[in-house]
Amino acid sequence: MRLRYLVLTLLCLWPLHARAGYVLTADIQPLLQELVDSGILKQSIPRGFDIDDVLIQKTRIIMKFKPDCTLDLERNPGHHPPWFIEKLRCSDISITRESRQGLLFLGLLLDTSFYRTPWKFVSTTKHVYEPWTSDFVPLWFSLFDAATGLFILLMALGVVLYGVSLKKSPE
Amino acid sequence: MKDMPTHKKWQVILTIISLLVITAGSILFMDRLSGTSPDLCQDTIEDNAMVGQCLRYNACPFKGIGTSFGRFHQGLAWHNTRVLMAYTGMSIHQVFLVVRFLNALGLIVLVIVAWRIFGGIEAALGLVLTAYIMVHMEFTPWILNNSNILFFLGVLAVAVGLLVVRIRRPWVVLVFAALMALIGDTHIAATPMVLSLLWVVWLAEPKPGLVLYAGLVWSLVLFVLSPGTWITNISNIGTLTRGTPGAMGNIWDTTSVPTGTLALLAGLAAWSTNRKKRAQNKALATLIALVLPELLVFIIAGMLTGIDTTDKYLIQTAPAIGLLGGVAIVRLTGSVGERVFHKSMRAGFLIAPVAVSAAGMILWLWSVTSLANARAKDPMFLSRLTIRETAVLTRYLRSNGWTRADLLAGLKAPLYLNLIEAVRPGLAKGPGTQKTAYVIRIKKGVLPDTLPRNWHLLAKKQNMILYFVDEQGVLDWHGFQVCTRSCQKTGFVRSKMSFGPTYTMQGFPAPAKDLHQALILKIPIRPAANQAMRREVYMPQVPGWCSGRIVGIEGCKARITDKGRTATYTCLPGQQGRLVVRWSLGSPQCGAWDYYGLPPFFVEASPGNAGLIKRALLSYPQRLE
Repeated sequence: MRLRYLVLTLLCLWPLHARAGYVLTADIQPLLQELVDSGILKQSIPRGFDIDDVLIQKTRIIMKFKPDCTLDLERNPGHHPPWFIEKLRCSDISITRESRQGLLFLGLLLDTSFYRTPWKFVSTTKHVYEPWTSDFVPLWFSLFDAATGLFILLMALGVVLYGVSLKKSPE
Repeated sequence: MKDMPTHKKWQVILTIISLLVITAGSILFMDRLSGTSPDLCQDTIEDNAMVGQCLRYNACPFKGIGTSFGRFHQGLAWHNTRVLMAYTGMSIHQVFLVVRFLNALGLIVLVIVAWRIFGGIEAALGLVLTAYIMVHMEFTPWILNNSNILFFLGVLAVAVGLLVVRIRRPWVVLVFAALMALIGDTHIAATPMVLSLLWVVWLAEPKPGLVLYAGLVWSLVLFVLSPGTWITNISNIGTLTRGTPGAMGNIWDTTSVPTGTLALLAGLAAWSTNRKKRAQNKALATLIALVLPELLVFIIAGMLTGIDTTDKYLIQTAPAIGLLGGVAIVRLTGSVGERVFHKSMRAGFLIAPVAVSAAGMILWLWSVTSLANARAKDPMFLSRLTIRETAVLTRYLRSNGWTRADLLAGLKAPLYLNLIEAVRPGLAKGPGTQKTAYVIRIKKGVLPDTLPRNWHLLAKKQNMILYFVDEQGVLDWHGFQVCTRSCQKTGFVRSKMSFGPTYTMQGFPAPAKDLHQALILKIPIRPAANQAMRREVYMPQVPGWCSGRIVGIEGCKARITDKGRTATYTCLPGQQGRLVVRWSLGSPQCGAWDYYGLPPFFVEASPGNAGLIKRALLSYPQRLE
């Protein structure tokens, strides 16, 4: 009895395993440091920078930093790299757009980790802006979710059918 | 069947007949209440944008859509189901059909379960009461959004909840907890049902371990279904904002709150009448547990936050309220009917199928006028076109050479933003001309049957007519100014946001809940060079639309009347003027949900057309001053 209980629980919660990779959080600092290391950013990001806002659109990601820096990434569907830096405007940071290697790295980074790692953006002022900045996940993720919901609905309907097929209580 | 006694045979036959009647009644009832084409509303447009983006760019929503209070998200289960349906090739009307059918199925399931657990009369009364609540509350099944499916899910919650108490097996608890999580992930307003879950499980087996298990399964399933949504929501608990002071209506004016309270009181009284019937009493207590927490949370949250209360957020409890009322009535009246009929064995087997069939017939014959009125009660009923009407309009515009640019500047309709979103993809790109037209939806009989030749009848269904009014526009919507703190030339620009409207107006304040600002538009008047012309301006006073004032008409001879709501002006040939209109954004005349970041709707037309359009608009609900 207890074993069945456990198996059923695990069966119901198996999608959690698939989700494990999606709930990791990461700070923006390592990402930007990687951009610096890969040669995309000429200079290192000043320590103590502050993320002001992140705007995610269909084809663009715009990250605004304080004071007065904007990193603008454009989506390039169907191409590789899928994301490229449109512009980075900042008083003491500049960008080398010709850095193909760096762009490829960024593309791969965003294409994979953007889906897999909804970064947690925590600024130095301890203000959480958008804990889950990744607004988008791939189609299979959505279909999987819908299938999970339908599975629950079918189980509920099954229980209803089973329940009404039982004999009436003696009362 | 052969060896069955005759009365048993008849019992089976009558049961089958009653189920057929209930099925037919439920389907007809939901069809008449919902209509055949969903209304085009902002929720559906946003859902469609999400679905389109998901399939086109492989970028699907991770945390549902924003709620109207705080920085919370909701409805991912619904959005993902919409994605799955679109992925399998279903059209929006087919999705609507499925939802409509599920809601009808909900009524059927409710009757069957109630019949098995409580009895035929209770089931019949419960069904009729549930249908009554559906019709009179602010449930809007004619809109395709996540609220619409909640009725069906609410019925499943009742059915499984009752079986949890009856069967008392951990696996049923597991399914119940998963179902309650699915309901909570479908609409954030249904998350308080977790309290019902815990209470029902306690009723089934008063073991803290089992209750904890149910709560754990609920949390985990909720998280598995939508991790992004719930982590975001937990992070944003502090952002719960207060509503506009005074916005909260009287909760006793709703249908669900007083009906739910009465049902609860009757249920409690019934519960205490006969404690010997333990199983029946437990089932009754289950219904109370399914109603009370959600109702209390709704009332308390409304009082604490001041957010305008609409009882559509209680739709998931409507089946439990209806059934509780039905069971309580029968218990309190001592089941008079059953006692009378049970005296005769022959008649005893008749009572349940007859009662259920009667309930089915009531649904079947439910006054069509009453169902139409339920829809007409929706303040946006006349303003919104159905998706089918929108398709007709798109075809008409396309065949008359309207381009996307014409649509943006020249089409005037109350819920203009929705139309732009829905019609624009169906039109060709191209330069704009000076086309102007009004799209007006009115009840039959409001205007005379014979109308000017430039009034084109686009669609006609039951008592609704959709007109397209061609108008010789003189306002230059390509070169007007917007003034907030200072004035600047404005025009349509593509929105930067991934969801919400595709277009916004340059220099217009962004729509926001706490926006309090004046919006002034200065629109050039460009009359024909060779003839004088007389025009009329009319500012409608319809709830849900921004009502403004005509401030002035410069350069032409003008007369402004009715506190700036109407004006007439005459321009000489070639004489250029300027119309100045003003709205107070954030005021009762132009609330947070009435302004979309686009020029609010008003009428500027030749006297003949303006008079007829005004007459049509005066048949809409009017804003009380």
